[in-house]
Amino acid sequence: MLRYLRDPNILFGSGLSVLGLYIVQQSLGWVVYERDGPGPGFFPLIYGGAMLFFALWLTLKALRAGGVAAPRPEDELNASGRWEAIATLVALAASVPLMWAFGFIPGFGLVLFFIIRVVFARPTLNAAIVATCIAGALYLGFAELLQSPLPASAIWGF
Amino acid sequence: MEALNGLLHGFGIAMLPTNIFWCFVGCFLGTVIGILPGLGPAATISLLLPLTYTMDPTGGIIMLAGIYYGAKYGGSTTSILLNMPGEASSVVSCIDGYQMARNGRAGAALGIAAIASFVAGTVGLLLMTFVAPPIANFALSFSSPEYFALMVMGLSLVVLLSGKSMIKSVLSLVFGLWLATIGTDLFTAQARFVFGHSELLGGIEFMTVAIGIFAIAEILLNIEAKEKSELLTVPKGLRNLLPSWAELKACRFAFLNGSVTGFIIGLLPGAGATVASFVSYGIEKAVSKHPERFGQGAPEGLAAPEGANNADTGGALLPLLTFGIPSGSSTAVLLSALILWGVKPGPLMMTESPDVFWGLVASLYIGNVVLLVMNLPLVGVFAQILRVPLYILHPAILGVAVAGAYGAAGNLFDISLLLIFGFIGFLLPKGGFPSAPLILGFVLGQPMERAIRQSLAMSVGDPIILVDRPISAVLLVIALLILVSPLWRRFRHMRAAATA
Repeated sequence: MLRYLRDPNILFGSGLSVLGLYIVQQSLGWVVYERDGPGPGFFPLIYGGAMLFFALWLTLKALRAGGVAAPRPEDELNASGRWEAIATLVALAASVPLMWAFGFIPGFGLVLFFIIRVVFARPTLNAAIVATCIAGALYLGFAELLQSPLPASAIWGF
Repeated sequence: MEALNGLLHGFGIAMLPTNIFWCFVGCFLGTVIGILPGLGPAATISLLLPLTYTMDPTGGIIMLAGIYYGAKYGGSTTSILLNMPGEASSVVSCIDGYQMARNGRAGAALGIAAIASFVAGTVGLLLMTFVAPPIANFALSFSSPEYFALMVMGLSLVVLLSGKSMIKSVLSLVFGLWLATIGTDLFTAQARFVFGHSELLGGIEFMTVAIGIFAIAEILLNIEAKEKSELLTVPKGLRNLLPSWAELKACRFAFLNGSVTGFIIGLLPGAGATVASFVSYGIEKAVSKHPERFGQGAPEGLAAPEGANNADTGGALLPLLTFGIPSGSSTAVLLSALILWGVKPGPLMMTESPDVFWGLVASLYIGNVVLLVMNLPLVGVFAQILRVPLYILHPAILGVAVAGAYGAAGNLFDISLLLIFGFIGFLLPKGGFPSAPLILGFVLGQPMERAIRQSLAMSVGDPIILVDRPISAVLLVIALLILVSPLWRRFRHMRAAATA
């Protein structure tokens, strides 16, 4: 069973099959074709059908091939790097509520601090200085120089 | 004559001090970011696109074109000095470029890369300048069915050329088409795939998808890869950057090969600069009297791919400017920028927006000179960027991506979407899915749907209109042949295996 769960073709194929099925199901709920020509369901029905067909093809092909064997430890490249990439993404996801609550400099600065401190394993003071400088430079560049909006705090309004 | 007059007009626009300034800024920023391993032209343009929002269209597109060119120039520096491609199309430059640097000819290698880029880039632009007007005149005869057929043909080529697996390319493409249809249907105001979020009614911002798929994903992949390489030093002094007469003589065919191969392959949707550089390297090695020198630091093995990946720019811009159809990720970002400024690329662009069209073309010639002048003496300075610690570079780029995406959309919901697209872009290569079809599907999704629905409305629902008109019929037959060709190849292989 694990051989199949490890296979990216099966994972992607089954995920996209579900999405294709959803697109087809939704499209059939809208007007597909009327007397004057196609409706809003026409185009999604075509590509949704194509997605379903090709995703099922990919999945079945991978299932017939028997999945993939477990990687040997020497083949497992950058396992720690993968976790660091995911930690970065999670930190960026946390930046959304943080920026909503505290605004850009404190909210995004905290996230940068986490990334530099934890992902890049820098000393705390170094991480704090670099994070503050980057957040400050971005604020100056975007908000002041380019007059481009940056998230404002829902608590104190700037 | 039309091209010459237009070009003269363009130089009048591009030589304005403000436009020269933006060209210089674009070339500089493009080179700086292009040097960073992993960040290619598409990521660089999408990352820096928000900086051009407040600019006038001519200045803005001149700056973006400079970024596009600069990123390509910058990519070769990393390949030669670090043996790590600055962008995908510089992969081939690592082979002989890095070997030249290891053999103590780092300066000459950088010089050859810059000269080849300049020569081939200029030849590609000359071809584009004189081919664009007749093609635009031809495109004037296109109506919705022809546009639909042209997009189908273009996307078929993308599917054929952009990945190892055609099924995965198709899936990537249809995923992009799905993203393009999220929001309100333009014909009937029907909300589609909005999952109850009113923020999605207006559709997904192109910038959110582009920055997520390219910039965020590439930084995450770089963090995961943790690649470290030894940076070779650049010899000081301009004299040390100039190749010897013998090296230049060895490269003379490579310059021509890179120029023509790069331009022709640039025209093909989905092929891109990476394919151009591989093909030109292959041709160069095949016709060489000393193929055994390739891989050992042959100057022509560096000149051909470097030339090709710059000549590709002229080829890639041709379908964008004359038909309004991008052929790759970078031109898709340029298309979105033009639309953002209210300029509609296509056959009428030359007459409706001559300042933007010819100003852009002329600025590319200027940009080529600026990059040559800037890169030869300053390459040592640019190379120092590679010494900036990653714990500063990566968070700073993530910050620019987030601030840029927020500037484009103005709400935090789009930052969440940006991160989702970043994650998708991170997963795509793990499953072997190419990102170019996704981004082209997203860009062409709406015009494609509009074209097919308008065509069928024109014929009161009769699909025969698509094959009734000669141009669209020919284009659809070509698309069919493109899609069937791998099956035909497989069938022939199976037959050959059975008879053996």
